[in-house]
Amino acid sequence: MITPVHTYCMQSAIPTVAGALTAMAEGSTRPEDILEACLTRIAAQNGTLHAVHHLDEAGARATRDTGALAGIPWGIKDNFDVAGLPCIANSRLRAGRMATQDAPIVSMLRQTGAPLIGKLATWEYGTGTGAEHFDLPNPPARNPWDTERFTGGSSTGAGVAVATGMTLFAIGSDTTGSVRLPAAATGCCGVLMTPGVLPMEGGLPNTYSMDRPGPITWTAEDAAIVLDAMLGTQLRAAGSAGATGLRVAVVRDPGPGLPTAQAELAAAFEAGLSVLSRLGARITEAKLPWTASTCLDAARVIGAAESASIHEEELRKTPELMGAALRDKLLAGMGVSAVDYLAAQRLRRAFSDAMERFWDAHDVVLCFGTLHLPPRLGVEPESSNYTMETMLTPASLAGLPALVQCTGFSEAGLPLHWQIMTRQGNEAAMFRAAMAFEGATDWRSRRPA
Amino acid sequence: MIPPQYAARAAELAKGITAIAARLPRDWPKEHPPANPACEATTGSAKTGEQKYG
Repeated sequence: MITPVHTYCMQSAIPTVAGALTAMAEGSTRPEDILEACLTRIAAQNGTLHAVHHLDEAGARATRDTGALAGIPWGIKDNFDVAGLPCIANSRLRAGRMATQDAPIVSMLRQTGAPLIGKLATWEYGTGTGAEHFDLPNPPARNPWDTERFTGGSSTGAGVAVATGMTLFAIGSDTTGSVRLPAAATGCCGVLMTPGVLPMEGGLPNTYSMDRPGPITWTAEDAAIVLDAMLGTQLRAAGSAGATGLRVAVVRDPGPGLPTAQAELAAAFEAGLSVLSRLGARITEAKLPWTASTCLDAARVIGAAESASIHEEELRKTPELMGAALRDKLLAGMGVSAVDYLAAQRLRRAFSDAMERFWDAHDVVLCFGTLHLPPRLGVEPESSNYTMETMLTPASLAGLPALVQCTGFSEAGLPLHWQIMTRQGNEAAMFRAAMAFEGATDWRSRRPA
Repeated sequence: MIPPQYAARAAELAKGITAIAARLPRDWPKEHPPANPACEATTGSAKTGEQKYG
């Protein structure tokens, strides 16, 4: 019997990355204290939340204490290789598989001195058709704000781990929302950078042409800190510049075929917009060159076809080892004609070109991520709608940087969110909007109890 | 090749994805090229292979 959480606390002992770094610099805490607190939270909660699939306590304890993120425990979705750890991707197809090398993104983070605490829950191969999956080797992760609800997928463990302080940040991967949805569902911040900035190599592919890794953190500032440490960027400084003069294009309408956002999401969106306006952002109404629903159609065709290509041999030889969601996606993908696939890729090119022109008049787009609140686990069509009825695919198709952050909480205590997108290479603008909003509101003080 | 035991399910799913594809705009100029996932800047994991680096 699982008891829903439905509670929260305002004086959480869980530090942000920024807070932990400051506390260590001041000598008020030690790296080993932060790590022990994370391990304690894993021991206490993972049996219910199922966020960590492979714990590497010894490896985390053995990490050197030097570097920009020394003492900041993190986790990574179990579809990236970490030397000496399993890489199962929650699939029976990969039972017993161990990685012999670190994926490049793991190597980058090892250079920062951050202790890797383990590998985090995912849907099978980071793929799915929308519903939560109960037929995989591991049970579904559960949302710490309400354990009867969905965590967002496919990086199902990443948001849970960060929201509960099992880790202070996490790395997931996102094809059409798999970093952004978990961030939205758990009240975290999820970030996609310009494609190619963070390496996907050493990660198991889901959809070759759209997969991107990305960090999930508690705050946008934390995401900037992590990215700065990995990449040598100055996003934290750039993001601290405020929203004054920022040209914000507001896109509310997802287009035909998709519902309008649920009322509480919409109300928080408008309230957040007022905050940005008061901070000096220049707000204008806008429409994307193609609607989110058309982008979603193209992404579904591309995703199904590319996934089927990736897993064709396994589908032929061992389909019974797959979960139903992956198998259905592949079976659908086998039915995509080459002409249809190219039609989607032609739209993608046209959309990307049109977005380049769009940015002449705008710095960032503000829109919804998903159009729903986190659904009840296993309840259809709630679960599928949560992942399929979204405004996430325009950024996926055009390779745009994107960021999802918490904009408040519903009456029932569920996280609300919005999405900020920007032009390739203009992540600083995205962080300006996100960090200005974050600094002007107090939503980051609330954690799941 | 689709395993025979899943042929009926595949046919059902193919109808769905074909209907989705049918909604995509097709009226592009002839010279309008598709995005090329093998070499575009939009590539995500296109260079990815299990345990292959660099």
